[in-house]
Amino acid sequence: MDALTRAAVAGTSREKPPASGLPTDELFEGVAGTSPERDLLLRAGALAVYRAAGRTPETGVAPPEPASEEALPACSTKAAEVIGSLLAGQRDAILREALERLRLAGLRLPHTLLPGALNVEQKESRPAVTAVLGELGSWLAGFNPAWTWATVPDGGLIEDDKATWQERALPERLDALRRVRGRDADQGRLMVEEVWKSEKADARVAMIRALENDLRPDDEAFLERSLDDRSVRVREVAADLLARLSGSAYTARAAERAHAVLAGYEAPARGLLGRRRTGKLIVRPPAEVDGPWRRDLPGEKPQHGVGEKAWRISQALSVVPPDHWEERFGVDPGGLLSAARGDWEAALLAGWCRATAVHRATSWTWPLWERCVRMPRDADGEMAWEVALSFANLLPQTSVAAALERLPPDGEMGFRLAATLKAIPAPWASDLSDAFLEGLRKRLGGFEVYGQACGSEDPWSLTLPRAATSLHPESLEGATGLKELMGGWIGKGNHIMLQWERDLTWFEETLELRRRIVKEIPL
Amino acid sequence: MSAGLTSEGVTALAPDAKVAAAGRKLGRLKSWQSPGRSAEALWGECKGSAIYQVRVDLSDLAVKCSCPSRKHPCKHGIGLLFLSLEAPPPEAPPPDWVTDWLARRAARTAAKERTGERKETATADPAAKEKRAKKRLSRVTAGLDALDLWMEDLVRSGLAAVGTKPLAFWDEQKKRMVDAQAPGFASRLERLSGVPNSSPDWPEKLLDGLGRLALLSEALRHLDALDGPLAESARSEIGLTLSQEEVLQRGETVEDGWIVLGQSTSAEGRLAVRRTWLLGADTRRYALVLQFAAAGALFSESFASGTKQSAGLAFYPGAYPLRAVVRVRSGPRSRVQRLPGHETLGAFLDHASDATACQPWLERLPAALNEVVPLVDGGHWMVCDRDGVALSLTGGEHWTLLALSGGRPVDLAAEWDGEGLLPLGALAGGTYRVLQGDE
Repeated sequence: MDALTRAAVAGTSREKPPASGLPTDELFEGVAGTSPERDLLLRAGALAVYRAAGRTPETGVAPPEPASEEALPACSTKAAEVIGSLLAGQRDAILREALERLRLAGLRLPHTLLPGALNVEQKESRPAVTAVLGELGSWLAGFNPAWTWATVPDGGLIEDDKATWQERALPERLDALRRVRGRDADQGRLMVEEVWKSEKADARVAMIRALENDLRPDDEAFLERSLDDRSVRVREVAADLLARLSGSAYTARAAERAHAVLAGYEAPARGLLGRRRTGKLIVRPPAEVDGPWRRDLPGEKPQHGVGEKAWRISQALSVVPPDHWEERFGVDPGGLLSAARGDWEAALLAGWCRATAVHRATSWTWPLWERCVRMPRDADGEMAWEVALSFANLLPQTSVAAALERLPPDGEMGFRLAATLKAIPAPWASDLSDAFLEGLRKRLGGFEVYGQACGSEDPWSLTLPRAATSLHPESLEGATGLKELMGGWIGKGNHIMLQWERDLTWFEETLELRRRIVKEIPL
Repeated sequence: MSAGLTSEGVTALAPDAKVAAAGRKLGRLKSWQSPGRSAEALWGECKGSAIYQVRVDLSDLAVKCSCPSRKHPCKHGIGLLFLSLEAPPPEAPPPDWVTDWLARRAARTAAKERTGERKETATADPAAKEKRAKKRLSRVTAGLDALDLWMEDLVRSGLAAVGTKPLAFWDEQKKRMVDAQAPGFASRLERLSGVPNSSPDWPEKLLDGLGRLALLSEALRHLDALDGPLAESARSEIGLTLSQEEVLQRGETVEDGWIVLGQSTSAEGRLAVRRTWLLGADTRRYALVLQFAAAGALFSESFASGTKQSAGLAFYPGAYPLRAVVRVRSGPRSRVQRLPGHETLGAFLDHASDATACQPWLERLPAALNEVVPLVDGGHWMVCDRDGVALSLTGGEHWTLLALSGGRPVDLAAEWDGEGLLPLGALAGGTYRVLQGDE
């Protein structure tokens, strides 16, 4: 602060301004202010102009090392416009689709879109962004601490990740852990073991969960120890992982326990009157649960309305791969499911559903789904149905398509089929996509013939958001003129039909956007 | 196409993002009936809830549409411009509703040219005019007396106290300046009101600003002693400017291919002020076209940044003439590939010093800079030239600029406020991009 400013800040009533000694003094000869204050102001003004006219720049500044030449061409201007609007509009699922198409087409983002792309908030979109940043994008990310996620090269040093592991916040630590684990599974686990005792429960749950990829026999000892962890959530994850580790002591214990519950199978035979009986499973609910059981199956208490025994049966089955029973009893999934009918059917289904999801037992998915979808809407039935949804990603989409084709003439759909569609990840196969659109047309056309929809929440409307982003690109071309199918209902419906109109408008706009993406980013 | 527009440029012409998006949707052939194009104009009938006749004068991108929208240009006009990029309409003889409009515009321009002369004859009584001017100057002087007292009070009791004053403290003074018909002082006070507590060195900045105000008020008391052009500059700084007609009539006219360097918009009270910076391709002269619009309303003239067009500009008189009025635009518009700017930052600073020496109250200068590299170092944004000389950038972060450069030199169009450069546009790889702060 110079003397002039100091005097002005303190006030001339307290501090006398300097009488002279300014570079601009010469200019002021004969132009005295009428008061000390005026004098100070005028001299400050002259000094300000003097300084502005003589502003000196910084020197000796080195420009950054330029980015490498791009290896890939940028996408077209029109594609860039679409992607730009997606970045601005927070349409993440569609953005990911567009970026993925860019990658497949061997293109990259144009330079002007890079800051927007690097600012995507959704973490799930980041891998798609990273793949199309080009040389300049990676270069640019190096200047912004918020964009470090885009700079770590795939073959980064384990040492860097270890430093991150020691020093950073949990999400970054977990990313580093997964990277190390991907390159050297043992080292990844050892990193967790080293810090295990000093971490809080939330962190321990996330860390042990991060071991789920590349699970290997060497992890068994650590997981087995974790079954005695203080936190029940840690114990749950440990049990879940151990159940997937085939050949572990845990799976042997689990099988033994399950054998006691599912004690035997009676093959189908002709009855006395020549009527054919189905097979029958002999179920022995555990009478009481001991310490080792609770240690291996630490799950939470049964939900309201589900009996303790039913819950224990499903628990015991959930940690055994479903094909274990095919081998043990020499019966295929269909046969076992028919044999499951009886008092404990829901419990058996729930256990198998969970095991199917964990062990990705694809041959079980469709038979199980068909049984669960017909389960009654009581507590037991819902327990089985809810677990069935957890393997929706493994369902054969052709079979789901066939279920859609069997809808009644008015196109009405059940809530459980709708929930299933909602759970099938994008992109849908083209036969499922076509069947969905055909079913939707049936439903919309049906309003004229069969009257308006009655419920305020139609199962179809639950599926539209998911379908809009999941329909196969090849099915998009024909998906136009849907709203028109509502015919006379357009514009004069009550609130239910107005909701349909709004949903369809949004649906068709989304499809139009995706058609533009497909057109502007040809593969 | 011949108008030298890009889709970015068209977007920039739209009054807001909504119109830009709606216009983009209309930029498809199916929305239009019999669109056409000639050397002077672009037209078409847009199928909306009714049929609207839309026309664009290509010489200055003025848009006229028969729709009732209050936004200008409306979505139909923007749509027609987008259409001309997507699917250029065929050359055709313009229909009557286009030629009529062009003729009316031409007649108005001619009338504008003549107005000056007529005004002169109308105000044949120079004594009356001088009397009016004197009266206004005396009102202004009375206002300045009050302002001077207020500023002297501030430094007597100490600027430290200003940091705790409410905004009303400034508003009161601003109102007084408006009442005293000194809007130039009101807007300087408006800018000063944002200084306290805005940075660690705010007392210096505040004193700088107050000092400049004092210099200006002092100058206005000695107008007779100043050179003619400098007196003219002082008068215009306080807001005693010539009317556009007077400028068209008396101002120096410079014919050149004028490059639109870029635009910046700021709010001054309830007015939006748009500064359009121009650079003469041959004369290397800078010019500023100022436009004012009430909140939410439109600016009357459109300029496409990064394009060049022949025009005659009439400059407001002054010690460093910068502000100008477009007399007439003619000929085709072309996109610029390079800026004929300063080769080094040192050369630009020399130019800025000269300008300040001529006109010490200058607050902003345009800067066309050749081959500078943007960089960021610990949150400090700069551009540096080939000599390793660097100037700061203002206005937040500049990631788009950094992305455009990729560490290589670009031509930069910016606004210089005496301390830093506010980037307005950059030419990289032969393409001009509009820059606005950052997203």
